[in-house]
Amino acid sequence: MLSDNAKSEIQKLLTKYPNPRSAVMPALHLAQREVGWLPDEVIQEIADLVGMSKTEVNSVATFYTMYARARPGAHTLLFCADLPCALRGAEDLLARLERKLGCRAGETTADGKITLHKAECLGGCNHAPVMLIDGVEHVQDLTDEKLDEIVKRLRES
Amino acid sequence: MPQVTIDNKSVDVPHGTLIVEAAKQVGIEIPVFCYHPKLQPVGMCRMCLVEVGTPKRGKDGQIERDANGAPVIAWMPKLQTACTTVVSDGMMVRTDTAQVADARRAIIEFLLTSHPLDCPICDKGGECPLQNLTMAYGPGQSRFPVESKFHNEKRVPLGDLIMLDRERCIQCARCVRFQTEIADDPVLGFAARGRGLEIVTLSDPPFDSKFSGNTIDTCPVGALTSRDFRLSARVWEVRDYPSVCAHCSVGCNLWIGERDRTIKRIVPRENEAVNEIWLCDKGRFVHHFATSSERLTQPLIRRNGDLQPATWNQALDLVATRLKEIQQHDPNAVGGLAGDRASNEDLYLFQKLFRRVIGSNNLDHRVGWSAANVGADLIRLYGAGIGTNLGALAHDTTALVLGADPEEEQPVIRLRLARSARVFGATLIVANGRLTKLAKYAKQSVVYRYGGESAFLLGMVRAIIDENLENIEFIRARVANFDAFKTALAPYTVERCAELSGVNADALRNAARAFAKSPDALILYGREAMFAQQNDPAVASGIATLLLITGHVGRANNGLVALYPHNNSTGAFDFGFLPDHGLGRAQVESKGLSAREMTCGKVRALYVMACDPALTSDSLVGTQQGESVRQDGFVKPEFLVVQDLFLTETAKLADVVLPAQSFAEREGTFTNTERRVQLFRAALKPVGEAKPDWWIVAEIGKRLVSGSNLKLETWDYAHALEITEEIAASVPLYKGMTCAALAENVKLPRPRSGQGNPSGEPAQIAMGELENISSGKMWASVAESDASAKFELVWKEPSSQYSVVSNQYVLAVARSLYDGGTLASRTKIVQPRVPAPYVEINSQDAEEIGIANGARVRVSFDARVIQVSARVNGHVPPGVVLMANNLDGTAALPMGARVKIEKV
Ligand code: SF4
Ligand code: SF4
Ligand code: FES
Repeated sequence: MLSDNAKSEIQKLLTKYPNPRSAVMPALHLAQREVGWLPDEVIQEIADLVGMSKTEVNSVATFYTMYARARPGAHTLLFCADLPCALRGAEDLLARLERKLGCRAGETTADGKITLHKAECLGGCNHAPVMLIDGVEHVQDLTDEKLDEIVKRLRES
Repeated sequence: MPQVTIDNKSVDVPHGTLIVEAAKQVGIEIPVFCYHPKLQPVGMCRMCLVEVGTPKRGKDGQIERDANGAPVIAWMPKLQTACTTVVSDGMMVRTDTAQVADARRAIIEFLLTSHPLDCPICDKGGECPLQNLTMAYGPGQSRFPVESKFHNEKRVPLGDLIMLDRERCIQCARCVRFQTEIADDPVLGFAARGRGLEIVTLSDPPFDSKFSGNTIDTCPVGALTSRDFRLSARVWEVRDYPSVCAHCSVGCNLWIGERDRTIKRIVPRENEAVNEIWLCDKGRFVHHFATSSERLTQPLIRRNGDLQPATWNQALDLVATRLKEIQQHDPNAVGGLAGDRASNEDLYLFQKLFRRVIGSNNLDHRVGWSAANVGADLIRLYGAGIGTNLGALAHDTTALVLGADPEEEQPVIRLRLARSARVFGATLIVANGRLTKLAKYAKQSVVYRYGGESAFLLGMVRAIIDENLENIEFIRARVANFDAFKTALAPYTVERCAELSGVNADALRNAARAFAKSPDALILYGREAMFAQQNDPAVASGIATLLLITGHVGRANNGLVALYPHNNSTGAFDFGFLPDHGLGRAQVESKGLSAREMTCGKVRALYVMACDPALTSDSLVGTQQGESVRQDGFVKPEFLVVQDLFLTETAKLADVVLPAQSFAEREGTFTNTERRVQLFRAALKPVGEAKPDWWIVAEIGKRLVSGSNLKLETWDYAHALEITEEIAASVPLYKGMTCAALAENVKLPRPRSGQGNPSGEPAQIAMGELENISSGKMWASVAESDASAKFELVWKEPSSQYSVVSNQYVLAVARSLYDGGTLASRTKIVQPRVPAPYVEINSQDAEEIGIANGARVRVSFDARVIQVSARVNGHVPPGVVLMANNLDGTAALPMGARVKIEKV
């Protein structure tokens, strides 16, 4: 599943550490950048490359939340669940967002378009509640209307 | 040695001792969950928290003292984990304070917030550290309402043998660490984290390890349970009887857990010298044969062509009468075959019957494996020294493992050798015609050409002599013929040996240096080397020479270990079940008939005990001097007696069938592959009218001697252990191995965690408390017992047999741990582990033939054609293919035969 290019990049990574197993995390990042997530085949390929068992690579890939072991939707929403946002009504908004999407935080919508995650502080407390779209677009001072708009836009994109 | 004071009790302990271990020495038990003395400490569960202080030092580096002159102790502000903290001199530890009690209570309460406490339906209940420690240290009541418990799946199969209950897991990682550190099959792991953490296996097949059952024992809760035992009994209702594994030659010590006349489970019995606290899954799970409904329950006599039930007297009288008739005519017309699964007592009496009463030397045990009497003399002379411990060989020991595949054939030895290499720094040199799993741990892994074994050994010998690494003193004192040997060796330079063996000359030299320079060195040789020896006598002489010129004999961790196939193969050698060897491995004057001769019509009467020659000898049985030896089926002699657990193929042809007892119903001794004699006890009531083998043989003996001038009382035995005594008194190798001497080892059953001990008192011993209790007794080789014995070097010309012919491959024969044999096929849950017949082939060859991994191929040799699937990998070198000979339709494959492989 990994391209030859990715494989040779991983081979190079192996030489950077006294113990090649240490390359497992950068290798997972690299694979995730290429494939978008980390399906079983990729876990196996990385296991073979770094000389670990598939089970061991899976342990690493599931311990860190930024590795995706499930296929994510086309868009990913990170919704701040930290205190300042909560004080500004984030809990209620998150519940509404879940209802709009038809899935819970940590899940992906049935149409495969949107994945919703709870996040810790996104660094925009002065404009709480805050949400991050696809890792780049910060939306602030969230309201129910704003959420409607965003969901509509992402669904149609 | 640092001195540590724990609850006012002082003790000196070696550097590096953990507080938890030091505490045991002063009789203080610190509760643990994640800590296990065989595993690296990780400090994950925090159950072992204690107060720790060290002497305070002033600016001048001197210990500060109070008014009374006692050192001032600087107590650490927080509690410390006793399982990861190493003691230092003057350290003070307190385990009995309110703060410690509080911490323990808190940890237990915390663990129980997501633990179901379903002890009444949990297999672990009654021997569960969590249960015990909760009783001892936990809060009487939880502050959390029951409804707030965290729930999880309760039945998650981890492969065919183990069931996971996620709710019960306390995330201690003992199972993961066992698989990684001890078994080195890292197929269990954590997934996710926090409360979502779970134990998963992603291997194919799931939990792909031959040691998985050990995780059941090491799990401190009931999260991992045996799918075989699960929910079938409460552990306190199961009675444990000390026994020894009935499968391979490691001779692992175990407890048979009996209830309602069946074996409920088998668990390891600690023996640091043999199996530590481990068992392989075959030893643990493959026991259902003992209680199978197919067991023979009464004697059978052939009447009008059919086998019909008879009484013991009828059957025994008939056997005695017929044997006597034939024997009086010609004693050599009577033959005996005994399997190497029978106990020493059975074998001893069986040979006594033949040698002393019938007057025939026609005795053999080599049914189903055709290696010659490899090692009968070698082991008698150079067998590894008493005290050899394969699980604790250290950096001063080199072990050369030759032509063996312990992963499949002696699993616990694979585990222990790997650990010796990985943890204690022993040097392994693994040499074979292919890569085995053990090669992974080798400092030097050598792949020779099959048939090049002797050249490989001579190459090492030559390299040692070239570099003057031989042990001159030892040679002068104990070895004869060295100069003549050197002269004969002259044409065999290292380079020439390298060429003949297919091993690089530098690799030969490196192996030679490691072996010769190591203070201690062992050779372990396995089935493949034994087959090689059959074709090429220079293998045995090469092994002996290598040991002798380096002086590596006669001491612990030096000498030779023959890795035999079965639990009592060594016993079969010891009691002379070879046509040319008698009792105590002595050479006999008049050679008897071999197994092959006896089964092809050369005897009139054949007595078969605990083996099935008709199953294994119906086609090719081996090679001799490179030629395939064909055997056309088993020829039924005029009178055939079979004594076995089941109606085997041979029994179906028999005139009289005598039902024998399994190892679980009787007692006796087995001698393991290191020549360690171990006592085992009965656990079950006999099945039907089945009798122990020794009893049956004795009854026949009694009938044969009555009326003759041979004394009757020599055949009167009330108990197997009377025979053990007779062996100890009359067989030189077993001198002094009386029941009392052997029983010492098993009289002290190890109480396991929370388990009652046989005296009826409940024992509260944490899993950490492990001591050396039993080790069996090894008999001494000549090199060890006779310090003045001289040994002669024997020169044998190496004869490389297996040349490669184009379009043909050399067939190497392996064995698979799990097979469909008489014993294993009766344990259903291991059946999925039995591989489908396969042929392993090098990727280069596979490409030439045009096949991919998994393709169906036809393997043909002589007139035999077998269809199997191909495993394409790098384990076999080009020109060699590998098949296991104990799978469906692959019996009696000839090692070294030339085969053709075609795509189907
Ligand atoms: S399954 Fe048992 S041994 Fe494994 S982590 Fe859980 S509690 Fe520990
Ligand atoms: S290694 Fe051999 S003796 Fe030990 S449990 Fe396994 S089969 Fe039995
Ligand atoms: S932290 Fe010490 S036993 Fe677990």
